[in-house]
Amino acid sequence: MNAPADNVRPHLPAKARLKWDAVREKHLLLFPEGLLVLNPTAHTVLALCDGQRTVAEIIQTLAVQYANDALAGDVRNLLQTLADKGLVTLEE
Amino acid sequence: METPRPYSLLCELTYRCPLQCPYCSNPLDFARHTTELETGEWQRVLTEAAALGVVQANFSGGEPLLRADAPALIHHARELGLYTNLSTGGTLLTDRLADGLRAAGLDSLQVSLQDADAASSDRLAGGAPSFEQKIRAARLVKATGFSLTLNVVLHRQNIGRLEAIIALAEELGAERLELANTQFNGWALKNRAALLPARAQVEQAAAAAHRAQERLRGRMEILYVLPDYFEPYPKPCLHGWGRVFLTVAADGAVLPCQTAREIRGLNFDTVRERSLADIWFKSETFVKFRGTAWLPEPCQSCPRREVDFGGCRCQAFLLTGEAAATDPACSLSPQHGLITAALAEAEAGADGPLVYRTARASREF
Repeated sequence: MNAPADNVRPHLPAKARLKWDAVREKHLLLFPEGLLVLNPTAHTVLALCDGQRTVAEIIQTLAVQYANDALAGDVRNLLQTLADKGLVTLEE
Repeated sequence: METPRPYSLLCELTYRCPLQCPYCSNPLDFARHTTELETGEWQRVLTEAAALGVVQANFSGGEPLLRADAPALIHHARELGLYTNLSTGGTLLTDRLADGLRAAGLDSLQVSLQDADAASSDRLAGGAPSFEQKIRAARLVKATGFSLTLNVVLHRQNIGRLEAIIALAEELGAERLELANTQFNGWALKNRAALLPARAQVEQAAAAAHRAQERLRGRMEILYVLPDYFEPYPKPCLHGWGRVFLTVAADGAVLPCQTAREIRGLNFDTVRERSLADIWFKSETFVKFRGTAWLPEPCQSCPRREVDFGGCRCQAFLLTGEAAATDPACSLSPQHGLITAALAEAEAGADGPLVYRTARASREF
C-alpha cells in the first residue's frame, strides 16, 4: 500500500464534511450517499487535515496529544485509505 | 435491543418528472398520489428528521427541480446541520438555479445519465430528447464548483457500452460514478424482459468496472452495484428494514424504502397525521420487518441473517406474493426458480417493448 509522504498537506474535498452527531454523541465523516462513524483518534487526524499542516506535523501533533509515538503508521494508513476512496485529498 | 435511529432521509419532493425512464423507482401507481407536501410541511419533516438522528438528506423525485422551493428546503436542511444531496435528471438545471443551489449550501449534486450514446439515452429516457441537456447540466455542475456524481442505471440495453460510459464520466470530470444494475421492482419489473442482461454481459461489465476502479483510484470513485439476480445471496436491502433509512414520499407517506409502496397490504402513515419519530419507532409498517425475529426459514437459522436480513421485501412480495418470504434472489430460497427462469429467458435473448413511466400508464396499475 502507498502511504502519503511527510511533506503532503492533506485536506478534505468539497464533498466530505465532519459532523458532530449530537443525537448519538459520535464524530462522523459525511460524504455522498454514505458516512463513517469516527473513533476519537481518526476524528482528531481529520480535523487537522486543513491543507496547511503536513503529514509530519499531523503525526507530531497526535504523538503529543496521545503521548504515543507509535501512531505514525496508523495515521498514514488512515489517510491513504480515505484518499483511495476520494475522501481525503493528498497534495504537496 | 434498542431500536436504531435513521441516518438517512430520502425526500421525494415530487413524483412529477419530464423523463419517463422504464426502470423508475417511483411506484407504479405514482399518478394516484398527486397531492404534494407544502414547503412548510417539508421544513417540519426535515426538522423532525434531524431530531430523530438523521444526518443526511437526499432530495430526489420525480424531478426535484420541478419544485421551486428545492433550494429553500436544502438551505433549511443545511441550517439543521444535515449533509445534503440532490439527485436530478439535469434537464431543468440553469445557471441561475445552480447558483441558487450553491448559495443554499448543497453539499453534493448527482445527475442521472441513461447511456453514453445520445440516441440510446434519449430513447431510454422517453419523452423529449434529453441527452444534450444532461451533458450541459453535468458541465454546469462542475463549473458551479460542485462535486459531480453521475448515476447510471445499467441493464441489457446499455451495459455493453460501459467503457464508453466511464470515458464520458471522465471527460465530464465526475468525482463519483454510480453504476447501479437495475433492481427489478416496480417499473423495472414490468420491463424485465427488455432490461435483464445476459450473464456474459454482467461479467464483462464487472471486469470493465474493476479495471476502471484501479486506473482511476483517487481521482474518480466508481461504485459498481452487482445485480442480485446474478449473485448467490440477496442484497442487505437498506441494511435492514427500518434500521438506517427512511423515505418521505411526495404526498407525505413515510416509507421504509422508496419502492415499499409496491407491497400491497401495508399501511403507510403520513407526516400529516403522525410525527416522523412516532412513525419510525411505533408504526405497524416500520415494526413489521425490523430486526430478525420475523424472518422465515431458511433465513431464521441462516448464519447470514444479520448480513442481509432476508433480502428485499419488495422483491419478495412482487415475485412471490408474500412480503415476509425469503427474497427469491437468494439461492437458498425455495422459490429461487423464479429467478433462474427469468435468467434463462435473458440468456435466450428475451426482449420486449419498453413500458415508459408515464402518468397514463401509471393510472392503469
